[in-house]
Amino acid sequence: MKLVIENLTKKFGEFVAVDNINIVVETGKLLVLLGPSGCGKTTTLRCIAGFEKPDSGRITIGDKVVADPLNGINLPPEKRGLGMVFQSYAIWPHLTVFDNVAYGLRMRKWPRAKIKERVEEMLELTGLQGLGARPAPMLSGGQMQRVALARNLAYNPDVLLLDEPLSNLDFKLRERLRFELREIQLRIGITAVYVTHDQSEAVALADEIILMKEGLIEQRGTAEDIYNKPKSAYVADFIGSANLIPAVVKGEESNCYMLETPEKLQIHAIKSDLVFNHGQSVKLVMRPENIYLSKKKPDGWSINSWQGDVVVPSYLGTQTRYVVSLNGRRFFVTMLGSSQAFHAKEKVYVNIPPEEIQVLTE
Amino acid sequence: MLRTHLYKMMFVVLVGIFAFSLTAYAQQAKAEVKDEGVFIGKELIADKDTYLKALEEGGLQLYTAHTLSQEQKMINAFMSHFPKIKVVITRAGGATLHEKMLTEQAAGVLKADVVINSDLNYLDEFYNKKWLRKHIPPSDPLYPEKSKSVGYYYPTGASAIILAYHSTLVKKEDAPKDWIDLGNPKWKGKLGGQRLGGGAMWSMVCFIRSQIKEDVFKAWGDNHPIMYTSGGGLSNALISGEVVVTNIGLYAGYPDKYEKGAPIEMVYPQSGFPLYIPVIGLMEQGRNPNAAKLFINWYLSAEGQTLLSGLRGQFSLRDDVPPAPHLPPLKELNHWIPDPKLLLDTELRNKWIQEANKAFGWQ
Amino acid sequence: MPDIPAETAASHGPRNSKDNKLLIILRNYGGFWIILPMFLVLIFLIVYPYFILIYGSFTDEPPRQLSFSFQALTLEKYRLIFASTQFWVALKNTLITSLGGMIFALIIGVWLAWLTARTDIIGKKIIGLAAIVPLFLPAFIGALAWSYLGSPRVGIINVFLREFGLPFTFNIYSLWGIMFVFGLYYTPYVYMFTSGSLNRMDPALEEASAIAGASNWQTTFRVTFPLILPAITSSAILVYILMCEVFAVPAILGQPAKLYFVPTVIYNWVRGAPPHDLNLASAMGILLIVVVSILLYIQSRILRKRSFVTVAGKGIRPKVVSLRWARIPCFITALLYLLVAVVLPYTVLIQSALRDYLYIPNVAAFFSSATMSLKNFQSVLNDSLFWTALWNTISMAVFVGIVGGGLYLIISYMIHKTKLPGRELLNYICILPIAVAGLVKGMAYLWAWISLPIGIYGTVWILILAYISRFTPQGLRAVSSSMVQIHPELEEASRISGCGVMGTIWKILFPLVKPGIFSAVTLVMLLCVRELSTSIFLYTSKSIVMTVLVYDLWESGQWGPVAVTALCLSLVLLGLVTLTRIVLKSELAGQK
Repeated sequence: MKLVIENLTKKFGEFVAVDNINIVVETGKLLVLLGPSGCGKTTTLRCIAGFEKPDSGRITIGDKVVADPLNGINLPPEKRGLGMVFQSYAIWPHLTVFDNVAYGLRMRKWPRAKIKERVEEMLELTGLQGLGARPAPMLSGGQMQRVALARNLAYNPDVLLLDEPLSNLDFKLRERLRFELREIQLRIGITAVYVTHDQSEAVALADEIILMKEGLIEQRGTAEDIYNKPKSAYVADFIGSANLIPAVVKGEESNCYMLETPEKLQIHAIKSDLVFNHGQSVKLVMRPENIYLSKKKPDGWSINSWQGDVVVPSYLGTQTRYVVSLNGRRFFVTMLGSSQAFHAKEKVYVNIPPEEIQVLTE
Repeated sequence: MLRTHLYKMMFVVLVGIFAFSLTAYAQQAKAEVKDEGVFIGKELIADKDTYLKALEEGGLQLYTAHTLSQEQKMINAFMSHFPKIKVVITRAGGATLHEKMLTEQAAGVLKADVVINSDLNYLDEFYNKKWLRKHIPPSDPLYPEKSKSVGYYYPTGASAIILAYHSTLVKKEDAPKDWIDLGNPKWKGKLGGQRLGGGAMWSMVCFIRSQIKEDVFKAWGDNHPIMYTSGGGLSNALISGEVVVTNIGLYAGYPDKYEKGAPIEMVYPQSGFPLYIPVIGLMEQGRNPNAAKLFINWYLSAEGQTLLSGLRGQFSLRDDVPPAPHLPPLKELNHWIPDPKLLLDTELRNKWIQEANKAFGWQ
Repeated sequence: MPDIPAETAASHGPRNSKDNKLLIILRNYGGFWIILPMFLVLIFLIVYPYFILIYGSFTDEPPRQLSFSFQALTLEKYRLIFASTQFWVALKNTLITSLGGMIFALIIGVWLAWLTARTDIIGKKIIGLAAIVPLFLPAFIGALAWSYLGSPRVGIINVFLREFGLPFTFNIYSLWGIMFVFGLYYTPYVYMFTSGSLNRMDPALEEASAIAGASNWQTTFRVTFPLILPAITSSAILVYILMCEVFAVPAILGQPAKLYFVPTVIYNWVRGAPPHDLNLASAMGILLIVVVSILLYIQSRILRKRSFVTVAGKGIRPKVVSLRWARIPCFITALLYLLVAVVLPYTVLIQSALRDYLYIPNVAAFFSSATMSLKNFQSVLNDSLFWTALWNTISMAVFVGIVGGGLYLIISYMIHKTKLPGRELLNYICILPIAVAGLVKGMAYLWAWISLPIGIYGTVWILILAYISRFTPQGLRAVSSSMVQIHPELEEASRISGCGVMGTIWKILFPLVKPGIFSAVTLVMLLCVRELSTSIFLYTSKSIVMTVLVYDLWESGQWGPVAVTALCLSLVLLGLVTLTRIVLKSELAGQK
């Protein structure tokens, strides 16, 4: 089912948690609401679920309007036909796994035999076959999360909501479950909205990401869009890691701006759709993987080339991450490869191609 | 061992209930209804008219400061004569009972037909408020003037407030003989006393201050007596040996000594002793005036008085009624019936009680 | 120090931290109409009687007529109180002994709780029972028994001490003696709060400490105790308040030593020589309320910051300290408590029940059966009042337990699981009764309800109402402690799955809250059976209860029957509690 959110606003007293946002999620797509604590993503999710009543706006699932406060519509959660996976899993401790998964089906008055069949199916789907009789408290975290998923999918909700479901799991489990989740979601073709603050998770799962800031949508797009074409320093900082360097626009050429950092580094950066004035303070975004280091000064380096010192190398196995200092300004630089090229206190040549630098407002 | 005790207990209880019910009937002569009225033995309890109306009323509310179990037994006896009249008791300590009645009256729900209270002040207050219903029982002439207010309140009986000592811990020769002996230094730290709150203790204070020359309270207080809130508690303390000499109201000491065989001895002080007299009256607000009259008449009859005396270890102020078993007749004792004028003097009461308290070390 | 584990509600952004459950209401202010009836109920039960009490403290005549006039207001009563030395001495005594008693109760209670919840001690069930059993003995009967045990001249303990040639004497008629008895009989409250908190704590917190290198003892002192501090403090304040208010113990044990306490002074003003001054008594009661309210406020500030959400669908397996060689000695300390708090007093009671009169001059007499007989049993069981009282006590306790329990459940739900307007106020009203001393409460209820047209006065119904009102704080707290632990997401998951509010309450909330409800019902029943100071104002011979009967017997000095009735009372308590446990067990078993 298609999910449409129009002009959604939610206030808590004076504080505006969600500020007039518009979202459309096509059927079968997974939308990630991304952002730091307090940005409004969870509130938005809870408005969709029906746990918060919006102040204004409209939420439509399929062709059913579930919330339209100004027209007196606000369906209670149980009437919205949704599924929700919670951060705490919220597995009912007094029920068995079977009962947990069968809960929604019993609500819908399915016949006994069908329930049994469906529950078994769901347990298989989530890799929990044979665990039906186990009392809920005796499960591991990962198992609990799967039960949560199973019980939601059992009754084929129109939209599946997920509220930071993996943040309590260990890293490997999180990675694995992330894949499983996505796989199941794609296979069943269910529309899903996923809330998280973990950008790597967002990037791995989403068909579309909406990055929120203080109740507003900062940027939306595919992971690639957001990653490579951040519209603001906030976005750039949030997705992936980035070097955010303050600078002032000193001049421009046909396809580049010329900027100067407080450390007197002269940088050329490619122009984009955004227009900047001379003298304007801006932020430059440089991804660590787009900064090049070499021991000797290579030929062909002219603009955007400097000599600097390696401050700290971090060997990460698949790559090495360096902190490099140029005129006192520190940059993160990542180099792929399993051998570490540079060591601490070494002198190194740094180059950043202008087309890899984005100029953004604050 | 406990189990056999348990079975034994149950058996005894069943037998006891059976026996008790039998004896209850056996002891009493049944009331007879004649043309002139209702009689028990030779005594007229009520005229026929009152009796018949009482039966119609079918019940009455008794508000009493007597011990619940004692009063319950009185009622059982009454109801054995008049089973159709159901008596409902409300019991509370003197002050609480009084407060309760005042509160109920103010709220318009006072249902008392008969009131028995330990402190004359309370009934006097009712008298002044015109809440007492005027009624002269047939036995009225048999009660001394000082003890009643004709037609309004009557003495239910008189309990002696005397001295007592522990018969095992104190030799007879050493026992106290008079009030002033409470000041004998050999009793220091082993002496008992009772909190001076209610009617009984006021009777005692009144007596000691008005009738005895020596400063008994000072002497008594100098011996640092251990003070108890109730007569019952004091009696128990005496029995356990926590105190060896004390004042005692017979209403507390009597059952202990004569029914349980406790090792205590009574002493009727040579200078005399006060009688503590709870009074009974009828309430104007009561809805069962005739049943109430029947009840009070019975209460003040020879049979009623004899029963009550036996229960409370007290004397009846009727000459023709014997005291409780084991007690000498009142005539032979140097007793003091309190003067109502003294008892009702509030200022004097506050003064004397305060002075006594001071002597005892209470501020 | 880590505050709350990550899976709680607080990490979800700008959600108001107090509102965990959204009750879907169609109209914006529909919630007001839902909560209004509850307010009316509570105003009738609690606010109105206490208001009359306050009014009574400012007037000259007891407010029997329920007419209010501003001219009648006077500060005279308060002036009298402050001017009386009696008052200040009494206040000092009360505050000091309550403090001592509180400390004593804390030491034993926390010790026993820690033993059962955090060590591998043997006989945990016995210890748990031992820590709760003193609740079966109403305080004043305990005091009476102890006066027989510890009176300096003839106390049975002292008799034994003398016999064995030991030089010291135990004097229960002293401030220390009262602190001792307080400590013994209020330990169960501390125990229940503390062990509850220990059992619900997230073990990860202690495990983190162990990882950091702390030994078991260091973890206990640096992590465990600080985390259960709210429970400890909360129970400490509660028992302190209760000790300040209780009448029977200081009356029985303080009287012989001429020690004044606030409740005994109030009592004297209520029942003492005429003209007794009830307004003075209520003024004093009000002052006590003020002191207590300050304490309650402090307590609420301590508890405010904490989230108690722990039951989030995760199993809880707490970490256990190994005692090794200390297991037996520790167990013995628990037995010692049992001995002193329970065995000794009951021994006295049984002795008293079986003896015609109690005179024990030496150890031989203690064991001789010379004065033993069943007379006391006969006299009690023959007494029709006993059977009336027995029936009343049991039936009222059960009724109040169930009806009251239901009421507290609803209130608790409103306060903790909804966003209804005014629920904070509701909570506050429900705590009020704690601040008011029992004696004074009885007066308040009497004045407030006596003139009601529905004629409950003089019947068991006024007692029932008084009990429900009086025990609201305890009952509500017992239910709430379970209620707040249920993670709101458990209910939200049910709602999402298609279950409405009512269905969620029934299928999810209720089963999870059951243990809390049962403990609340049990607690309320216990409290009803033990209740004296309010009943004594409101009873008649038809509505008499066992505690009043015992008191009456004691006042008339019938110690033997007192002991018999007290033993029966304990049996009733035991019976009720056992019954509830059986019911609870079968409920939980049926659930699986």
